[in-house]
Amino acid sequence: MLNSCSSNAILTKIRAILGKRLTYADYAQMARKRDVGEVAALLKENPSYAIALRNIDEGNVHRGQLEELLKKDLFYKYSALRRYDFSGGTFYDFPIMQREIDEIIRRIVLLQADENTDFVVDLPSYMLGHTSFPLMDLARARNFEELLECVAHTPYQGILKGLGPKDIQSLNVMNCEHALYSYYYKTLHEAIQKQFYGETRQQLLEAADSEIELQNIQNIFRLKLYFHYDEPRIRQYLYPYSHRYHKAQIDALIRAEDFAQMFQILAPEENEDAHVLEEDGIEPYTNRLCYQLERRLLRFTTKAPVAMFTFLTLRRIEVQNIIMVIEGVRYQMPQDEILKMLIL
Amino acid sequence: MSIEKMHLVNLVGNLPDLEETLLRCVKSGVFAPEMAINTLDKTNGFSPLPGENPYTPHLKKLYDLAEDIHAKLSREDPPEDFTCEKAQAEIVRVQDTVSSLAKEKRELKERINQLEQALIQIQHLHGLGVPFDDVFSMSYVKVRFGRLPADSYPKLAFYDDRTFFFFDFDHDDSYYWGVYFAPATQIAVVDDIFKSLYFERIRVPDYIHKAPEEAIVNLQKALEERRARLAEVRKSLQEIREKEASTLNQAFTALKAASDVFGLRKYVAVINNRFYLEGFVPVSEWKRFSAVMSEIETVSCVCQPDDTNPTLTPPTRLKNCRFAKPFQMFVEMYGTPGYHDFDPTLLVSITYSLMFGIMFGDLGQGFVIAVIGLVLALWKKMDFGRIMLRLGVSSMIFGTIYGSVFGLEHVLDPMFHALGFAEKPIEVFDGATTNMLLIGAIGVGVCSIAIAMGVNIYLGFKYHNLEKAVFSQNGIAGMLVYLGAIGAAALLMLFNINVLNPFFIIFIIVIPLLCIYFKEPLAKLCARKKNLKPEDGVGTFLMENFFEMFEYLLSYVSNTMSFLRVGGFILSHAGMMAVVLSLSEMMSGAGSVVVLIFGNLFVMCLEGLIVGIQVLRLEFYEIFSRFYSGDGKPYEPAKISYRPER
Repeated sequence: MLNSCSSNAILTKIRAILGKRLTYADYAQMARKRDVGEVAALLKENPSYAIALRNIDEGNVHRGQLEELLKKDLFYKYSALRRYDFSGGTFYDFPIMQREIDEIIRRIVLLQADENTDFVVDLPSYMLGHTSFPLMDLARARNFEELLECVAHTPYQGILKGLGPKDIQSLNVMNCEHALYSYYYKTLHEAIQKQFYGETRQQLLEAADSEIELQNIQNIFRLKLYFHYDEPRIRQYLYPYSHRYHKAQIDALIRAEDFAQMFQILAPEENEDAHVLEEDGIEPYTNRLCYQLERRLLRFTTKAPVAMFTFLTLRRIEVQNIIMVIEGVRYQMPQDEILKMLIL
Repeated sequence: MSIEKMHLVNLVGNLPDLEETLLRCVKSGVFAPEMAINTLDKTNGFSPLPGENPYTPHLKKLYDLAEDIHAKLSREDPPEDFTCEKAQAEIVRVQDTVSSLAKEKRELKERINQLEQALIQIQHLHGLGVPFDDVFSMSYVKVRFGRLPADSYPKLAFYDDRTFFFFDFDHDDSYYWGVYFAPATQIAVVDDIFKSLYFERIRVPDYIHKAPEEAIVNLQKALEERRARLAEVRKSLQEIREKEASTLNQAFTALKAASDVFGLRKYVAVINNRFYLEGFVPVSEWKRFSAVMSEIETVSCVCQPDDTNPTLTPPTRLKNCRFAKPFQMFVEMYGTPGYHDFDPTLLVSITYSLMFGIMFGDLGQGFVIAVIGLVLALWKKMDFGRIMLRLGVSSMIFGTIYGSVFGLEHVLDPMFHALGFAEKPIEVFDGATTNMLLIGAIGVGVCSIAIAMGVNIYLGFKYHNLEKAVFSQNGIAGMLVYLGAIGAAALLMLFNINVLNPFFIIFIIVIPLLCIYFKEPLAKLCARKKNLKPEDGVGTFLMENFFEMFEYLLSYVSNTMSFLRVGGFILSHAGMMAVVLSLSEMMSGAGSVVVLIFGNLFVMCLEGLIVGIQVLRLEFYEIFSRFYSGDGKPYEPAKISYRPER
């Protein structure tokens, strides 16, 4: 009974937040602004971001600070919604786990580059106390051993140890990312299978699997076109989940020769010119697919976990869109160009 | 009551005549363009028309200018010699006049903002306890006042080994106000660290020497001076705005028209210096449109049937009589009807007006609603005003039948006596009438549902969809069951006639129910399809259809009962007005009149709104859901939008 009420609360609150989401007209208005301060002032007037940005000085705000505030607002919205979950399961932990993994990967990359202070600058301090290991200790880690010590008593230690190398420089970041994300996706799947059934499970799997599948597609494009990996090596970095595309299509994608051929396999019905798409890479296309699918799921679902999962993705995309507009405004790009880059 | 037929029109011409063609398309106001490049075979050499809109930068400049002087741009048709080039020149001229003032305004606002921030910040530095001069006069130690985001504060622990100190005087959820000290030799490095942590430095103005308390007084004085100057600059800009408003509006009108016409190029496909454009034009407008286009010699304008290109869906333009036209708003709110579908606007206009009048019958209040509707329709040109006018009249008609004027139930009695009636036709508070009203409400519901089913059957036959027309719960089978059961019950209860004999039960109830249960295989059988076996297996089919059948039967009852609200609101309206009159009678003199007026206003606003929503609910849920899909494409002819794109 309590759980059912909590579900309704989460769903209603998400719908209320969604009602205030940014529209194309809002983005167009932002893209017309002359500097970051004006964008911040406009966002401050928007009911969806007014509270998060209420104390900023728009004449003095830094782009990075604004981005950080938007991400923090997303985390706070997640935490506020999370309070209404009384199921006791681990499903709702997925955003924290994902962020933990992202921070570990970021630390490894910066340790390899021998950068120690950059990590702490972008450290999400609003997450201190919410993670399964101390984030400040991660910032203080100076080598692989200290990093492993920092994540002791978490599953990440075993995963990183299992990769083999003893020092940070010989660690392959791609292997590391793949291992950590494999664990994340596996845990997410297990939580969905264990905690939910029926329509909820089916919709959650649809959302999760399509996200993973699109990630796989991005990996194939990237590894094939930029890293020129051969077929067995590409397969090594794919996650074993799929939703929309058949195995034969994925195989054909791996074997295709160039972007145009790959795009033809991916979307034979699309009229868009592959050469135009190639300039920006496949990410805008896959992100748009993901956005459309999850928006549809969110619009029609009556299940709180599905609403939460898809809402966080859509909100993350909205924050990305805002960041893109801010970047565009900062570099004085024409309004049309900025709007074209948005995922809508 | 129809959906207007369309012609698919192809326009082909020489590229130099494209602009004139597009302009004429827009001016005609009837051409709904389609994306030509999507329907043409690219391998034949057709390509989209490239090119950036050349008017966008000038419009942006104009919007910026309008923002600087707080001008609201609107349509003002310029004289013929006012070309786009002239518009651009005028923008540059006004911008030259405005730029220095606008720049000063921006600087003043920025300075005022800085001073306000400094004032806020210095108010947080009350805890400093030392004059600023003493702090700034140190030779080997540098000092920076400011505020640090609360998120960055814990990160300072990471820099324990660096040579600086941060002291906070005050903090809230978002910021820590304070000061940091660092050796002069290290200040650049420390500044970088704090910058990366988004430390916002407060520039303590030069004229602040003593303790924060005194600094606050000085800051307030500086703020007042700048605010006074800002007011002067604003006044100058206002004068410019008043002087140049007409010129800017004309420039806006000229540039926006040119820009929107240029924007239509995205619909154009090009091959060998020839352009190709296609779109839909209503049949009734075709002659006028072709006459306009024939004036351009090199452009050929060919009209084809609407189904020539199967990849294109013709748009829907509703065509209704004057009475029903405003109700298109409600239909479009649910969804535009498909091009080949049934336009339910007339049905909605009649049933909506009728049900609203029945539920909100009051001659006086209906008159007020009609007058408000008339004013809104004439003054604001609102469709909603026109709807209110019709609802008001309906309310007046039913109010007369109920004999109710502003809640006074016997004011019209002399009129009825004069007409030869012993009393008014319907006495709402009479016990016998109450039952009659509720039964009548059910009757309204049965008729509405039967009409909706009838429309569904018509559409089913029109599309050769036998499952929809014959076997579905809203088809002939559903109608037989529904009307048969209701009719049998009505005859039994009202006239004590029992028609439930075996023949009736088998042919009117059982066989139609079996048809609904097996509608999918029956439809396949009629279509002579071979595989009649359900896709998900026989067991699943039987189980699913059992529950669906249960739901259909339940919905026949619940949907009919839903119309009880029609009768309920007649009683509720009379009841609420009775309360108002009782309250009015409790007062004496002017108080009684005031209560009567405010009571009427309250009931009109509250109940009028509720009844409006309830009737809309009945339309959408009980009637539309039986036949209407609303998946049509709205008819949107190319036009110029004279709204600034902010």
